[in-house]
Amino acid sequence: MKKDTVIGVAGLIISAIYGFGITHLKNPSEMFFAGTTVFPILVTIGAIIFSLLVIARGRMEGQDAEVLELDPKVLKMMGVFTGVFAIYIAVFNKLGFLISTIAMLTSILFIFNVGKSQRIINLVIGIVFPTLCYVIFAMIFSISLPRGILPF
Amino acid sequence: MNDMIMNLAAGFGAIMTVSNIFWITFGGFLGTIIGMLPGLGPATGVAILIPLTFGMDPTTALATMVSIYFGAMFGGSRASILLNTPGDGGAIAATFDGYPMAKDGRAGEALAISAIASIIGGLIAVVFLALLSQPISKLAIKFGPQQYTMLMAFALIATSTISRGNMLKGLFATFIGLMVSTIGADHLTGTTRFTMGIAELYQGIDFLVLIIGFYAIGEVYNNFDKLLYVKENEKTTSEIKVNKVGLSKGEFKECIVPIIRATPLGFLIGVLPGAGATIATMVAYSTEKKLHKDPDSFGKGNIVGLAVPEAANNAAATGAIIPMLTLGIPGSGTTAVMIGALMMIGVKPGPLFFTTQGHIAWAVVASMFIANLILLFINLPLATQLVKVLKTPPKILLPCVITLGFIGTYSLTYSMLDFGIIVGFGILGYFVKKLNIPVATFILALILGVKLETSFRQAMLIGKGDFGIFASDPITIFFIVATIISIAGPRLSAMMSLKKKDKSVKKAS
Repeated sequence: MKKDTVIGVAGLIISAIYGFGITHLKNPSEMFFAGTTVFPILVTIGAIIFSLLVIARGRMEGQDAEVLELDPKVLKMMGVFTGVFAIYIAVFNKLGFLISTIAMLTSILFIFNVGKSQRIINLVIGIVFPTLCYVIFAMIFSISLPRGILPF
Repeated sequence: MNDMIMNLAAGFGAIMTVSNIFWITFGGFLGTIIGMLPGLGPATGVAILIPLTFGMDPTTALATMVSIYFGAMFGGSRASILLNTPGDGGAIAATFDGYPMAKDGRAGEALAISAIASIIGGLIAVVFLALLSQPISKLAIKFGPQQYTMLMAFALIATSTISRGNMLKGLFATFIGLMVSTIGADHLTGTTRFTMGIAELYQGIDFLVLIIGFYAIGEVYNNFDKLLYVKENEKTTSEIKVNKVGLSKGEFKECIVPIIRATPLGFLIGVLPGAGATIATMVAYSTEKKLHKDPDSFGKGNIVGLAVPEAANNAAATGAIIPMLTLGIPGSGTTAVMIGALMMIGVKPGPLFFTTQGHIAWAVVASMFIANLILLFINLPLATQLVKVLKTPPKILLPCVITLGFIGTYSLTYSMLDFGIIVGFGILGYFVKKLNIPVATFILALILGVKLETSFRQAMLIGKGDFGIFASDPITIFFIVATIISIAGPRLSAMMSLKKKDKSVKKAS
């Protein structure tokens, strides 16, 4: 699919959803020109105009228009990473920063940095880096990071 | 002038404490390392290191951020010279002659001139900043809502139109950014808008969170394209050996005049909203190439070809701080991040900043001098040690950047919803880059959106609904003209260069 078409269609969908949101806003009629909805309305009009212009440019360029090419391997990896992040978010407060971050970082290092020779490196960095961060941010800079099940 | 010298002296007095010097040094060091990592620029550096500044007094926090910013600019050039992979847009021009020099066995000279040109450019630009800040602030005090509206409209449109061939996408991104900026409570009436019933969105989406998502997480996803195809044990890091870091007198003499020439150019371009270091370095490089006695040597390892963009790069970075401090409007992605961080610690840059918080403002200007000098001492003697960072494989570094991104996000709001937002915007960042949509325009719109809407509606109230208020005085008319030029300018220059090419082709035939 042409990049311009993807952008334009996405813009129109976003504008439609946003425009639907505007219909739910109340605007005092006596000050419409400076009310809650006036800016969102103008912005929606702008977004629709430029979405249509981007689509039109894509059509005018015809065969020369750039095409969106996505690498399935990259998309799969993004999916895996997103899954790891979702689990991390779910357990972050319960397990605490240190344990959950060690688990998250070690997991993505093992997924990303493959190879037998890398296993020990992955494990060491997966443990040392979050621990170092915890010491620096929580203990030295007193930033409140959740302890979770750990006593410190 | 006397006032400025007195203020600056007071600024030096305030900044010269052991703790401030430590933080400037530490910030510069960390910034240099982050800047060296391919794909991670100053904006990401400042964004993920913001937690460091929590608990600091505003002067120290701002000085630390500035030193991270300047350090990242220095570091960005290291990756350009040794890996041919710029850390950010401003470091692209450093690859043109820096990498050929390194390949020729002159990496030491390249690193040295890069650091020296950067510091000279940076120091001269700070003098310009000190001279211009107060006059601009005084002018900006006269701005009412209508002038602010037009200034911000100009900033947004100029940012969108600056990348040739990408203007439509830039304007598209601007409007989407403005849409996102309206999420949360209406700042004038308190009405909740577009929150979908999620209480955490009442305050709006924190743009720092969004920036971390786009730049830190999104950049990791963008690196998948390259890194997933690297085989086990394949080298992805610099193999170039760095000889002694230093310059001969002759090399310095050859570079000094071009450096001094490029600095004001870089500074002026940096001050313009959205233009930033990338354009500044490219313009400085092409100008110097035209002026040089041997233009054909540019791109083949000419030391002047490296010195000039490096000076322009740092001058532009300093220039970009002017609209941030004096108008409260970020001129670049990094200053946008800095504004967000400053607001969190209760500092409000803008026209009154130099009047009401002058002690902070001048201390920060003084810290820029000191940061530049400290960075020279970090970058020259430690150059060979620092470049070892480039030997760390990105497959290890990038997951660590993700971790820092999560820590940064959590420390900003302590909200798990924001974790979801950075992951979501990280994915979006990947697609946005694939679609060649300029991220900086989206972020600038998101940041300026609330201010723009507030000023616009206040002006409409003053004008009783008449749009004529936006063209009612010389300042607003100036911004209208500037906006028209920013839209038409790139097209006109493209048409003129086409005509020139046609003429030269006709002559040749």
